[in-house]
Order: sequence, then structure tokens, then C-alpha cells
Amino acid sequence: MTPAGRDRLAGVLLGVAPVAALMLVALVVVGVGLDGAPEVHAAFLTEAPTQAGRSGGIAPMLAATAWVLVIGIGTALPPGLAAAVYLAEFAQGGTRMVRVALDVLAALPSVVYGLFGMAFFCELLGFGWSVLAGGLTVAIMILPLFVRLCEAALVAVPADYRAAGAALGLPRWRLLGRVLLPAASPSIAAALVLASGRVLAESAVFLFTAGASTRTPHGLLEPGRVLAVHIYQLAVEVPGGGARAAATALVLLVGIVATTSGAALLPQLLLRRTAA
Amino acid sequence: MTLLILLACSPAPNATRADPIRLTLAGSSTVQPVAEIAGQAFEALHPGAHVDVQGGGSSVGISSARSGLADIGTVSRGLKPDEADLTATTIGLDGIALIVHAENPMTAISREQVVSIYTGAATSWSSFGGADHAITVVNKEAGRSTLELFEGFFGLKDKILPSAVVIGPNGQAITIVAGNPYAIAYVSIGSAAVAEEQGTPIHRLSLDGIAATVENVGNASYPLMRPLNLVTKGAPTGLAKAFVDFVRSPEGQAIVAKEDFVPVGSALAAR
Amino acid sequence: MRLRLGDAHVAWALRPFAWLAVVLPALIVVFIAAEAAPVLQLEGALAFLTDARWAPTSGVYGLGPMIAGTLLSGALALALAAPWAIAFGLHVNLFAPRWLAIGGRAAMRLLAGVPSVVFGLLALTRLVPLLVARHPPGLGVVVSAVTLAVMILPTAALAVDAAVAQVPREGPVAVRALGLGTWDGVRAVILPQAAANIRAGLLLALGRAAGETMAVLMVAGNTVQYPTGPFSSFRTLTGNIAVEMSYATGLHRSALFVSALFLLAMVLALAVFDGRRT
Repeated sequence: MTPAGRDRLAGVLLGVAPVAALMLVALVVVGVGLDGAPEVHAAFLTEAPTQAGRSGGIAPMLAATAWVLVIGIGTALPPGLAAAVYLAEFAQGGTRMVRVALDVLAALPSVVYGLFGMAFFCELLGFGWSVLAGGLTVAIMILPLFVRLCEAALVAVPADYRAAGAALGLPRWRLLGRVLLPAASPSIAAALVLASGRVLAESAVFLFTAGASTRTPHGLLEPGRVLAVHIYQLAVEVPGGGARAAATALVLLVGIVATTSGAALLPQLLLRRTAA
Repeated sequence: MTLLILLACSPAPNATRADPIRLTLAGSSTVQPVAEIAGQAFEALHPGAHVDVQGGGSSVGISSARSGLADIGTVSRGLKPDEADLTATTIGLDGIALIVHAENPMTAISREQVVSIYTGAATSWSSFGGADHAITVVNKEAGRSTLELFEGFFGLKDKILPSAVVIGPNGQAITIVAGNPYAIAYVSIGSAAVAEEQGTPIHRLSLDGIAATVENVGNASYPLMRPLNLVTKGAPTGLAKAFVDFVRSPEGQAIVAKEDFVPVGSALAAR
Repeated sequence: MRLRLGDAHVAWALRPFAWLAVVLPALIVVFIAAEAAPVLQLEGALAFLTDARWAPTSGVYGLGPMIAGTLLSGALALALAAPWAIAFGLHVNLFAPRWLAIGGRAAMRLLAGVPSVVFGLLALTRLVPLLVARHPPGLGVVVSAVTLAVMILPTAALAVDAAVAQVPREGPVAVRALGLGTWDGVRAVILPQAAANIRAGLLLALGRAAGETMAVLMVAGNTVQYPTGPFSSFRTLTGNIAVEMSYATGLHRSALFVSALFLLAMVLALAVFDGRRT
């Protein structure tokens, strides 16, 4: 066979992969949508589950998810950004240990985070099953991702900005506050959104730390059932719960697609506004 | 930094345990629907009260009532001798039934047949006049009172074979049987009855000739029965007492009956 | 009077946050180890590998079946996902028309964001019923491996994509100059040069499979036994922790933390032996 013939064959055979990926996305959407779409309506989103989950809505789960999201992102943002700034701008070498530690954090399975969160936040610190425990635990989980993305955002700021700053005699920290961070902010915003997507997708962590109560959490120390955990409970423990599980999955997927696309589009949108 | 601020603002450890408005229940999956629905009704009657219900199984009910992690433990059996430090208040009666898929022609089962299935002596439905298909045996995980009572009643302790599937709460067993025409499982009669009312494709098998119905649990003719208990460390006090009293009140007992358990107040509840 | 703030001050203020990243994994491992200590002191770590079965309430702590379950499902998942991932990485970089490269990558990124419970839900409600008729209970090794494969595919595929993209252009260009085609370039130059990074990406994906909890919990069957066939019900280390933690007390609970340590060791070993990326 000629090289061109081999290439054509390879192109077709290998091409199965990306095509299959597209089909898989369609399968997921259709699979979840077929069962779930009929169940999703305004009442589903605003009511609490009744009859022990067999009917009613998912309002408390949306609330619980919002709680852990805000706590998680809010807790991870300051230290994460600070660490990223340090690594990108001020560290002199000797960062190897920090990077290895971040890699280790990123590799830990979610059930290990769940156990740690339970032993540390729920029991040792006495928070009990609570959205606070869940939020703090997930904050540790998303820290490596967030630090890596923020650091990349800072490093990606064009060299001209730094050169201009040097030419103006700006001290490092001034350069940072006035020039670099604002320039990197669209990417940092995207990092936040991406980290949010991670939080939404987690389940094992919250099962161990935030509990599975179907009540709406009204305070930091109250338990709550996040959407992902609710999907699990409905699918496995509530007979006939498959349709509502799919409906919940649909809502969750919409949220995640919004965050993934948001993360991709945000830099473009924001850059256009801050462009010189 | 934010972490430290959050930590500083948190109340002292375990302050929530003595909270006059928050009630935590944990334990049996059988009692869970009653606890949740009664909890919602209780909250409607006592504005400001919060009732949180967790699962985990009856052994969680016992251990969390003891440790204080829960105010009330829910347990679907009587207390054991080594649990004398706890107080149990019975709120209803339930039985344990064998269930199969709606399409399974079998409607009755005998004690010997149960033993042969769960010890692996019989592996195909053909042994019972059905199609020649492997039986999917569903067993409960350890720590569930339903398992203990099942093993005890049929003398199967340590004799149940490594089953095809191991599940936790009743709902999971029902879901598996509803999806598998060759499965058999044992669950709470109340949860099975409720599932059937909602159209789940399962049916209960009568045991040694006695139908596994709520009525037969109520008149004590069904042999495999157990009490449903709310367990507290010492006699219930405060909000816990109010909740226990509510569940034993006519309104609470109506919830118990709706979930297809036998309400307390019949002569048998004195057991 | 204006405060003279120098770089050194700012660095000093920021440094603790970077070191927080070092403290955290240490804290986590210490805590897990502390909870695991009681039963480790009593039985020793070897018991967890050599005990005949898992009966923690009777003092028997053989993790063998669960370790086997984790390794088997993970290896099968990787075997299913790796060819797909490698084909993906090669195609979108070297063969795909622009629309397919963009679409395929977008699809993978979307899949990467799908929560594992959703894959578990789909497997439970769509795949298992298909298998129930032929191979009851439908739950077991095969369904778990397929579900895990779909879950780790995006990680693996995007890693291979990045690995292939990083190969310097000179090699393939030289191959072309010799009159050979793209595919020849793949075999001769690109795959060998990207191999280390591809391997790292695949091992990362394997680690993710080993660490997955909820999705496998939904479709594995959760029986404590060595998997004996493709439709055998089994339990993974992670599934074991999730199932039993809700009711384990005392030494039993401690034993579950020990199994978490084993899991940690497995996953970290995979992360370390990935053949250091450039």
C-alpha cells in the first residue's frame, strides 16, 4: 500500500475515536434526557422531596449544592490565588516540594477526602454532618487545580506588560496589583468556574461530610444532600426512582455544561472588555 | 485566612447536640420513610424545629444514639441484652418477606426452600417448578437488623453463601428485584407493600402458607415479625420526647399505617 | 507616611499559602493513619493481605478480594479506554479535519465534566437491564469495567492529545521529506517520542479508575468475593469503604481506614512511577 493509502486507512480507522466521543456525548444527553426531561418542571426545582423521595422536587438539594459550592470556592480562592502568585512571581527555586505536594493532593481519591473530611471536620472539629464540613473538604480537593490554573494564567501574561512595568520602575507587588492580576483576571475567573464544575461533579466527598438529609440547609452547620448524592440515592435506594434520578442528573448536567462552556468563553468575553 | 475566620466563627464542638430546635435521627432504612415524613409533619407543627434523618442501618441507630451523634436512633428490631443502657419506644410493627419479580410464577415459599436457596443448595428456578435459570440471590450487608433477624429465623448464621448481590437498604433490594426476573430478596413488608402500591413490579411470597401482608403482621399470624423502635440514651427528653410522643399520637400512627406498618395500640404492641 | 512595602514583605506574606499546599497532604495522610492505627497496632499490616477473608466484625481483615476487585476493574477499564484514547490523540492531531478536531476535543472536555454518578446511573438503568436477561444479575465486572472505561476515557484521551501535540515537528517533517506518509511518521517518530507522556497519562487514568467510588458502587454488585468471571459480583476497596463506613464502629472502622491507606499507597505509587514527564 502506498503511504497515501496507509494514511487514508489510518485516518478512517483512528477517526472512529473522536466520532465515538461525539456519539458518547449524544448518548449521555439522550439517555438522561429521555428519562429525566418529563420530570423537570418549575415545581421540580422549587419543591422539596415528599414521600421519602418518591415524589416532589429537588429544591433542598439545589440549596445544599449552592452552599457547598460557595463555601468551597470561597475557601479555596484566597489561599489558592496567594499560592499561585507566590509560585509564579516570587518563588526563587525550592518550589519543587510545593509542586509535588500539589500533585499528591490532586491524585488522592475522593473517598480518601471523604474519610479525612469526616474524621477532621465532622468529628475532630465538631462540625458534624454539615455543608461547612463538605465545603471545606472540597476546597482542599480543588486547591491543586485552582493553583495550577491561576499560576498558568499569571505566567501567560505577555512579557511586554512586565517589561513596561520594569521600565516604569514599578516594584513587583505594584506591578502585580495594577497590571498582572487584572490582565490575568479573565483566566482566573475561568479557573474559578472550572473548579466549580469539579465541585458539582463530586459525590463521595459530600456523602461522608455533608450527610444525606433531605432538608434544606439554612446554616453552615446543617447537613444537606447535594445533587450528585441525590442522584445516587434515587437510582439505588428508591424503587422507581430512576426517572427522578435522571431528571436530577439533567439539572446537574445543565449546570456543569454551563460552567464548562463558561470557563471556555469567559476569557474571550472579558478580554474583549479589558483590551487596551 | 478564610479558613481561620470560618473556624473562629464556628460554635464550640458538639454545641449542636444539645440544640433545642435541632433533632437528628439515624439508623434503620425500614424506619426511614416514617421518620422523614413524620419529621416533616412535626416541623409543620413546631415551627423552627429541624428534623434531620440519616440512614445507615439499625446498628448505626444503636451506635449513634449511644455516642450522641444522633438524638434518636431508629432500629427495626428489639433491643439486645447488651443494649440495656438504651431506651426503646416502639412505634409500629413490621415483618420480613421474601420478594420476587412480578413475572415470577412463584407465589409461596417454605422455610426449607428459603434455606436451600440462601445456602446455595438450589441454584436454579427449575428446582421450584420455574424456568431453568440461575437464581440471583440478594443478601443484606452486615449491620442491618433485617439480615440478623433473617439469619436467626432461618438458622442461616454464617451459612449464607457469597451471594450474587449485596445490598444495604430495603429500597435497594426492591430496585434490584424489580429489574431482574430471576432475583429473590428479603425486605421489610411495609416497604415492599408501599412499592407495590406504586406499581413497582414485585410481589411478596407467602411463607409456610401464611401470606406476607400487613394484616397478618397485625394479627400475629405471620411468623417473621419485628418491632420498629425509636431508641434514646435513657428516657427521651425535650425535643426528642416531643417527637417520640408525636409519632405515637394518632397523627403519627396514621403515617406509620400509611407506610404499611402495623400501628402501635393494638394489643400486640405491648410485646 | 507611606508604608514602604518591598517585594520581600509581599513574598513573606504569600509564602505560607504555598506551604499550606505541603501541609495539607501531610495532614490528610496523618489523619487517615491515626484512624487506622488501632487495628494496625493490634494486627499488623500484613494481616490485611494474608487473612483468608474479610470479616471485620470477627477480627478477620483480609482485603484480598477487594484489592483484586480494584485491580481487575481498573486494568480492564484501562484496556478498554487506552486504544480509544491513543486513537483519539493521534487522529485529532494528525488526521482530523478541523471541525472534527475541534468537535472531538470539545466532546472529550464535556465528558470530562460529567459526574461519575451520572455514568453510574446510565449504566444501571440502560446497560444492566440489557444484561439481566442473558447474564443475571447484570451487575458485576463487565459493567463496572465499561463504566469505568467511559469515565477515565476523557482523562486518558486529553492526555494523549497533549502528548502527541508536544512532539517536535522536525521528526514527522523529516519523515514526509523521505516520501513517506503521516502514518509512517506516527509509527517511526511520534509514538516513540510521545511514549513516555502517553504512558504517564494512561497511568493517571488508571489511578482515577482505582479511586472511583460511587459509579462502581452502583454497578458492581458489592459481594465480598474474588471475582471469578466476567459477570461476577465483586467489591472494590473504595466501594468497601463507602458501603461499610456507614455502620462500622471501633476496630472495624479502623480497618476501613487501613484499607484507605492501601488505596492511597496504590494510587500514589501509580502517580510516582509514571515515568517523570518533561
